[in-house]
Amino acid sequence: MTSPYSNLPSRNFWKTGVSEQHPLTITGLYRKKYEIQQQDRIATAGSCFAQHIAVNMRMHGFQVIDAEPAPPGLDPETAKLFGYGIYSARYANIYCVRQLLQLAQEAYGEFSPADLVWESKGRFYDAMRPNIEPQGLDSPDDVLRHRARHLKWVRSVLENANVFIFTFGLTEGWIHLASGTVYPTAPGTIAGNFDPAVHAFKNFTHREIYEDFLAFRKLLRHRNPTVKFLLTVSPVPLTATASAEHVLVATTYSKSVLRAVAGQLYFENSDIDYFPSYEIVTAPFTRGMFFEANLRAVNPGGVEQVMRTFFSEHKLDLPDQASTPVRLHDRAVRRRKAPMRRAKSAEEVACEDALLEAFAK
Amino acid sequence: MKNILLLGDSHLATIKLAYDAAHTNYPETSVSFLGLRGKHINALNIHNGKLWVQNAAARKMIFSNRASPVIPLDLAEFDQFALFGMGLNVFRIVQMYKNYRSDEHRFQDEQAFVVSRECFGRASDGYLRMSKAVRLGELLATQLRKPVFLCPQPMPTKSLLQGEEFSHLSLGVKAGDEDSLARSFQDFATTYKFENIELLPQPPETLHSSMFTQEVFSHGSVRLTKEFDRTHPGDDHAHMNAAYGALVLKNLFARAGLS
Repeated sequence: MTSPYSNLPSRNFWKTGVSEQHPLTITGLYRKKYEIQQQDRIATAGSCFAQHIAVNMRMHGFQVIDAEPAPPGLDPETAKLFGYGIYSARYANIYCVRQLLQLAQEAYGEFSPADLVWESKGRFYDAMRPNIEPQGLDSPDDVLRHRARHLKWVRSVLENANVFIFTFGLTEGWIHLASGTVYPTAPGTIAGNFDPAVHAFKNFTHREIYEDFLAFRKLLRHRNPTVKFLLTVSPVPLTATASAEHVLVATTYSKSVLRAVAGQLYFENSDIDYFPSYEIVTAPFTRGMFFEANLRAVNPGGVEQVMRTFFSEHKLDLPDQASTPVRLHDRAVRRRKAPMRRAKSAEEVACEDALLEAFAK
Repeated sequence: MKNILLLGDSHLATIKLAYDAAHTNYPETSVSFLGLRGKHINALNIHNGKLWVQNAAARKMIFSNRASPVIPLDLAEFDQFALFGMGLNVFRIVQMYKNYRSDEHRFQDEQAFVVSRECFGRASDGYLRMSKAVRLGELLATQLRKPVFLCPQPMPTKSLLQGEEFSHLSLGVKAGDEDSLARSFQDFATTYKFENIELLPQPPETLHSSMFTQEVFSHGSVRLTKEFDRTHPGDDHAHMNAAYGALVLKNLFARAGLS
């Protein structure tokens, strides 16, 4: 009698693949779908956890695009406060795939966000990235001018990337009802005002997220036909849910949907790879060892294990591995070495989502 | 008798010439000069209360009025210190302005990154703090616990705007950004605080406008060499002459209480 399971390797069985493995030494969790070459230009975007990817890839010699570099003189911590060096442009965290799609559409004049300028205490904020100017700007016109220039750099990122790495963060978001504009945070959290007649909570479905990503991919490949994608799902649970569910149930739903979308995209498309950062951090065999005491933030060990798994497949043979961020600016911008310091935890990365904790009773 | 050490880059020549012409006015002060031109200045370091020059090439280039050997120089014998130039200059702001414009700037160039005023201000401050003058000054003040005076490099003369390298500044000045750029530098000068350090602004009577020195002060500026026998080329817009140095020196000695 033969069974289709009889000749499968040990990694295919839970007992030998997981139960008998230690989370720090487990191998074979990830097999790359395609090679990332040293000369490839890498763009990164996504939710808070994605911030670790750019830093670590630069440390390992990969060419990560930094289309909007920080001015000389800003120390790395201050630069981060202003949204520099976190992703390939200053678009800040992109939690929902619809947000990513809308950003790309806006960059090419195919979408116009509604209610773009938020106000707080006489200062003005870009509603699509309200965290990148800690003190806001002087006027709504300044916000619009900054955004127009930012979109130029977004286009340069989209058109120059060989590999686009995106970390799925949330299914939950806040939208402008009339236009469908998705905001990275609820109006009224950092700036702006929440108006239930204008804004609404939205929990994106599998189908919506799947279709949004395919729409983004189509738009991007139209401008950049050879670009490849690498998807991950953030292991960081929701800080808060606006759904009717318990936050644990809501988190499970959210991450399950995102994981399922990423899986389907991976199985259906040869240009889309999936990297299991979610599984590395949250699988039962870790027994929570990769989370901080709040059971939400990923600790440095968790980040290190995620990146170690990634680099076990994507490895460059370089004498001095740290690379300089790739500038797309056509003038000589002073080049600086990438900050060589890892964030201490996921809480240390810039994360609007974490601000919701202040509303907990 | 008070001992003061004047440290500087090529701009130290201005001060040395002025001092040579006026030293009889300061009979109770012993003045030591130590300078290094250009990038050699980066080889200067202070460790355990001594001044070191960290590479052999730079050591060969040291200008000093002290008897050899001068390095390592024990700094304990000095009562006060003054640092000239050493990267504390408005050029840092101008360099940043080449690629970054704040909301305050009127010359907006499609190729430049637009940043908030707050961001530009914090970057300017940080960039000036990275200058050799500030870093060395803070080491001196911390290790020696004696007064340190920082004398910034003079503002350039307006002939600077004729150079291709500064075409962006020329357009910016035409658009009305001069005061704003000068203010970024002045803001640092007025807000910088460090125990035992005083930053002495450029004498106002030497200025043509907020970020340019009067052309007359650049005529006949001399290179920092042992013989002081080589002048800067006619199109030099950064170095000033002994007349300028005399005003800086007068200001410095007054602030330092030297006679």
